[in-house]
Amino acid sequence: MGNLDSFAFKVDSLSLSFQSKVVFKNINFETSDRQFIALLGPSGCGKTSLLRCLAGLQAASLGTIEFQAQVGSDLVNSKISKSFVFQKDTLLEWRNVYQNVALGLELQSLDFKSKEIQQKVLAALRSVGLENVQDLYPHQLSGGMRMRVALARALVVDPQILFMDEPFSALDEPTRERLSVELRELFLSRPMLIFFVTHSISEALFLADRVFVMQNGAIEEFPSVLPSKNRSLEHRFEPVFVNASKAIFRKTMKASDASSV
Amino acid sequence: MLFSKRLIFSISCVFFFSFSVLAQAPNAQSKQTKTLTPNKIQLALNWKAEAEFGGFYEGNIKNFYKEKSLDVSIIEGGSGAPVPQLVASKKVEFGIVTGDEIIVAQARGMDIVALFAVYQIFPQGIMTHEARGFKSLEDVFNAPGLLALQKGAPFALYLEKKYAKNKKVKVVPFTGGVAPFIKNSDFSQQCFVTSEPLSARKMGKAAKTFAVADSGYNPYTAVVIAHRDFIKKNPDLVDRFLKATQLGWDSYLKDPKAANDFMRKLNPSIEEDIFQLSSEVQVPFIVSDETKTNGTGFMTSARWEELGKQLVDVGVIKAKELKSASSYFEWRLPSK
Amino acid sequence: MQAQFKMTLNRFVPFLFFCVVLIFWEAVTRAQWIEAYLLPSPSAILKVTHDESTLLFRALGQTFQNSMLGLVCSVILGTVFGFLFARVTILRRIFYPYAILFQTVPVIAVAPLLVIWFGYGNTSVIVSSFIVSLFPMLAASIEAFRAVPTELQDLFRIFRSSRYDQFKKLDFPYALPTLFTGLRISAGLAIIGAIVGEFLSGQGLGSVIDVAKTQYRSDLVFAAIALATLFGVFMFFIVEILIQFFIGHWHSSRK
Repeated sequence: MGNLDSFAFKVDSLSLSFQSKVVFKNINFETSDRQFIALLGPSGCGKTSLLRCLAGLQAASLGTIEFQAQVGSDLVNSKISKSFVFQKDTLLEWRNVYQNVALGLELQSLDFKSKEIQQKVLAALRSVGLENVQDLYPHQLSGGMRMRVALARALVVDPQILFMDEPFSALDEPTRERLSVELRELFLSRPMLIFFVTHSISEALFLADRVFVMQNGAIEEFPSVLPSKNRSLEHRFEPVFVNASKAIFRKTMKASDASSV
Repeated sequence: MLFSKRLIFSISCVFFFSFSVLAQAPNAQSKQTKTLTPNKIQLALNWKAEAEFGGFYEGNIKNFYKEKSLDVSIIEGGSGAPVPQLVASKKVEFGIVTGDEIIVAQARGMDIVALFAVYQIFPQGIMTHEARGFKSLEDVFNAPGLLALQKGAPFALYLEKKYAKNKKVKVVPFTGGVAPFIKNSDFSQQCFVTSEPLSARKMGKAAKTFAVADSGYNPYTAVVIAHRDFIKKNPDLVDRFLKATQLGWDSYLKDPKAANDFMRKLNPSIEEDIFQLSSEVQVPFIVSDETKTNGTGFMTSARWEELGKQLVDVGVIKAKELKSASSYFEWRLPSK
Repeated sequence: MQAQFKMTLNRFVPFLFFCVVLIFWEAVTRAQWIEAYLLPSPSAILKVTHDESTLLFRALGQTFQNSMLGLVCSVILGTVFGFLFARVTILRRIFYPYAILFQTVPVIAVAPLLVIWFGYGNTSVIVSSFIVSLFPMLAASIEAFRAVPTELQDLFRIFRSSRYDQFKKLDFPYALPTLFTGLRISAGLAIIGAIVGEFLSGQGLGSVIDVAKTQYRSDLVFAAIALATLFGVFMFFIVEILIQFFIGHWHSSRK
């Protein structure tokens, strides 16, 4: 549970090298505590590594991540509550839906059976529309439902920062689209900073307030072209959206031409 | 033209006739030593090549078998070699077993018969640490400590029954070798008097060995067996084999060196001096007044009858399974 | 109707086949095509089982005790060391090669040494059973605990889980299916190891087989072997029941 009601998130000169190969270098940005930020790039560009560094799961070689006046790059141990949603939904197969969602609360040593837990879990399930399947086991669910459970599990701890690593890429197109809409709604209904990694330009532009395009170990920011609220899937075919997509596409194409030499 | 045809025809007839005569020759000359094709037979031992089989290897080395038109392959055995079953199921022609195994085997439906007994006296012994000062087997059983015997072996059952009164010793299974004997000073074990005590002495542990035969259990040992049917169908072959075997043993008893050297190549795990010693120590077990009169390998009905009764007594076979002595052995060789 | 008939036929056919084999076996041995001292008839085996039931079932009890103790040791030690080897690479590199020796050493050659070290009672039998059944548990355990996905480990870190919680709620449940796979194999091997040890000491089925062999009682040998085999089958079913009970609600072994 975060003690801080609001915070600023500042990244300064963040760099990561691995076995004398540079993964990313000199990343700088600032954000408030209510932003949807997409990290966009092709496979292997280092966006997952960047995400993990931001989450504190991996130490950077250089640079700092700051919260307000709090200095320290070990995000895991600070008092800000975080959650992570992975590409593979990684549910615990031996627990049913309810127990999976309750996991985060359980690990923070709150009583498993208390009324408060129950309320939070049911609320999280309701927010993803799964309150009727709490007794089912993961192997009985479809891919989309499993991802919703993973989302509920991430949300039940009331995270202040939510890290998502290509969570929808393993799902089919209609499910992906539906979950994108639901995710945006969820973001609007509760205060959160979301870092969302994806390789889909249209997904990034649809979901995010700011799009960080990652190339050659650096990021270039593209602002969102859609209104903050009431985004619909049809917006993706509006000229302003298409143009923004094109611009990003061109940028990434140029760089990939250069890097493929 | 006519002349040469007749000539060719006559010569062919002569050739054809000669070939038939020559082809008949082995049958006609079955009692003579010179034949074209010797009989290939196998002899299955119940252990590795050691002094107790010296005479058989001598039979090959000194060509006693060859001179009787026998091509004998000696097959070594090991722990648990199923010699009775091999002979009973006719996989090999001859085998070597201990006398009591023959009586038990016949009770189980294996029709094997004893033909030649190398050891007149049972060479099984109980070796104890000399320092313990035992004077008899009864002492051994009445003292504390461990005694290793092969589980279920007839001689072990006999001893346990005979010395059951006042028994204090703990009988444990025999696992082979002398390692526990060397390690433990209150450990006694079964042994072959021609081997384990010699090894133990060499390793610095003097042993006092008691012969099981002295306690009354005395089967013939290193006994040549064959299937009853085989003997019936091949009496001449069997007799030739037995005669050559007897010659081999007599030769080995006179001078064991050649066979010992040969066997050591097959079984190098025994040192040369032990080998030599074994072949000396075993002589009084093989040579007796009876064998001096009747020939090496001799057997009597009385011995077989006694053995049969003892086996019933310890419960290895049932009384109704006991047969007459004459069904267990045949002595076919002429007396000297 | 036809479908039901087919279903019952499917269940019945294996049993029918078994009966046919038994009848053929009995006929062959009665007709003396195979001698009794090589292969006793089923009726002879049943008869000796009845005649020597005290001996056989007491021996079975001993083998049961010895093999189960051996199995418990290999399950506990295999799981614990597997976890250590999975998590601490240097330990695995140093000790795993020696663990492979447990797999390859011919127990029947080592058994006399065990008797020298552990005496003539049941201890050497339990050790023999342990030696033979350890490796599958150890190997399964190492694989099981190495296979925990990094994402899940990350998740637990993000949620600030304690190490103990992580083991109890993630590592161990995740590893259970693979551990059970090891148990399936180890259970049968524990019985074999016990019987090999009993050739030389103790009073279990192995001991009965050894004595019966010395006295050429092939019917008793086969009866003891049959009991040992049935015991093995029984253990197999027990393990299957355990699997169903502990992980059946979420894990299908046919996945």
